[in-house]
Amino acid sequence: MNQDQPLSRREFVKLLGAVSLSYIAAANHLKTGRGGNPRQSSEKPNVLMLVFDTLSARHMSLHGYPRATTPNLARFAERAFVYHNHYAAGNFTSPGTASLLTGVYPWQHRAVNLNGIVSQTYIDQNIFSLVNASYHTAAYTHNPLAALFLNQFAEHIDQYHAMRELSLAGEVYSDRVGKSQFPVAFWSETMLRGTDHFLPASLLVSTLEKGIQNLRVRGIESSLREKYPRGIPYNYKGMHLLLEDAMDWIRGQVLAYPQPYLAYYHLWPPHDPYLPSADYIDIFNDGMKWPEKAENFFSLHEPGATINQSRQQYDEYLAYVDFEFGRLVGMLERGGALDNTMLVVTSDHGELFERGLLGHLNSTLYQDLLRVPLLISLPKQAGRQDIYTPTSCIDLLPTILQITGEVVPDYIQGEVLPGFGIATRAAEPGVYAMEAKLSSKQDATRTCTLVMIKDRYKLIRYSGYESELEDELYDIENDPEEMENLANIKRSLSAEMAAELEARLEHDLGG
Amino acid sequence: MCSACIFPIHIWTTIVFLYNFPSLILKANLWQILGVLAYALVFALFESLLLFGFLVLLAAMLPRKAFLQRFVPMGTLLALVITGLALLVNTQFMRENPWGWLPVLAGIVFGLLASLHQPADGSFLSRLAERFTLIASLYILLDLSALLFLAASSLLL
Repeated sequence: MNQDQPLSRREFVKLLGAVSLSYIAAANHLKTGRGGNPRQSSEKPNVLMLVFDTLSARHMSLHGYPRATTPNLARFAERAFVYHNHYAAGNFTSPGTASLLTGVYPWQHRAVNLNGIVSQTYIDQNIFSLVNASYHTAAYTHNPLAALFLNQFAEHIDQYHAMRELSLAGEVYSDRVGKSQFPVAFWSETMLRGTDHFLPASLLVSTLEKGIQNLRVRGIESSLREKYPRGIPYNYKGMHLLLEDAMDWIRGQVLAYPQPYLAYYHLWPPHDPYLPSADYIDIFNDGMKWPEKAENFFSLHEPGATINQSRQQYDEYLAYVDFEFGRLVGMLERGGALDNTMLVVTSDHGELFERGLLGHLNSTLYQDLLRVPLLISLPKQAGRQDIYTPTSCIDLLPTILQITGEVVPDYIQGEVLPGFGIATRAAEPGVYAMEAKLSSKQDATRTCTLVMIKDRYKLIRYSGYESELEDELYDIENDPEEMENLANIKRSLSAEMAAELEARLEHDLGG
Repeated sequence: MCSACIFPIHIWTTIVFLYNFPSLILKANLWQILGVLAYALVFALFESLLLFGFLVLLAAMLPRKAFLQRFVPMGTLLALVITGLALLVNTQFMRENPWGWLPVLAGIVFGLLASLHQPADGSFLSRLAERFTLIASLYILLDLSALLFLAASSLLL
């Protein structure tokens, strides 16, 4: 397919329908129901999901980024469905991951706050519960925010691996008290051990524990200084981890799982701090210039030089992640682990380096934060399919259910992805995202940023902030950098999209 | 003197809980918030007992005369110094300045020396320890309720 001429959904469906169906049929993935003894069925494909935290599609050379950040992912894409306009449902782990795992938007699952959890309903309505009858399910995450969900879903996960399994130093203790109590214990642990924003409630034990951990970390860092001169990557709970360890571990796990299995691995890199191995440090010291973008209400006024330096470090870290991904795929192929395995690569949200902002813990929903990769490679897939239709992370769950022959429940808001769900996908559905960490779980739309993407246009609506902020409308096909706000130029379109967004919320939230 | 261990640790726990309360009410229901408070209180009780145990151990190593006469004022002063220093150690200042450990060490040495020079019972510190007793008793009651709450939660959930 010519990548320079993206097709509309309708054209795409006509051209690719037969091709994609043949892939599905070849791999025996058509819906088969739940009868018999499916756990030992060799007909069902394994599902291996790799979620790289904070991986922005806009920083991937696979999607046209000028730095060669992802050559291995590009190689992998040659035998995968590649979604070029795939969107996370939020701008940080909680909403993004919860939507990925439940198939509904953040205003439904309500995991909108930092350290937030999904509503009671979704404890038994998620990817693991939906395939657990016929699949061996396994999950691991480096990310404590994602661990909150996985612990909530643990009853449906046959092998839940605790974060500590891949930690070189550092520990989260709260999952030792029992999974049903995990969120409360986790919040308590966060308070007892302190955060970047405030001192710990525990003055004696946490101080001693920190001292001991610091000594351990120094020992590990000094032994690995040559390979990791900037330091060992760590998550926000201070758990130090190496991606190469995780990749070796994943290979061992997937070879050992009973088949068919569904394994979900949520890996911390390329989340900050950006600490690649020595081979990738300064590989993008190219003095590249980026478009200057005006600051907005949410800007933290980070200097341009700092932003550019962080962007470079992120890109270098991304190249390191890409290398490790390539190494994992090589290992899995050599071990025959991909022969009957559907491999999904995606992310929970992106990262932002513009408008005086760094990272992703802000209230904006620009493209760098929302556009994430999605690559799906079916067993024995030989060719590449590029898909440009806007899709959402909530579409992944119904797609997996369809491919694995499971029933797609009505409550799921996502639709089967183009390329797999020709007969069921509604005409040109809009894609939505939400950022509402300042709102309460019960009233998630009180203070929030909402996005609606339809065709080539993206509407950003700010609601409930201290200042009354105007809508933003961008033509993301012709203005992917979101430089020109069209809200006051295309007023009718802006109003039409805003009305549709409001109607959608009203419908979903019951008025 | 046990109350001198309980009081500062529990007061600090209460301050941190209140600081975290606004973010908790965004994502948790009342039952869950009570759970967080219960964990914090039980942990505060544990830390208080740990500190008390440490002071008893220290006192056991002192000569009998000093133990009998100065245990309460010495222990009270040490409990306050240790919790104060632990607070200092966790500040941004300490994280950013490695030499910040010097005043901490100096503080510990000062605390030890000052406690050895405390007068016998009836001193200001002894009276202070007595005044802590009432509120410390209240905290112990809360701690025990929190312990029961957590035990019941783990049985019910």
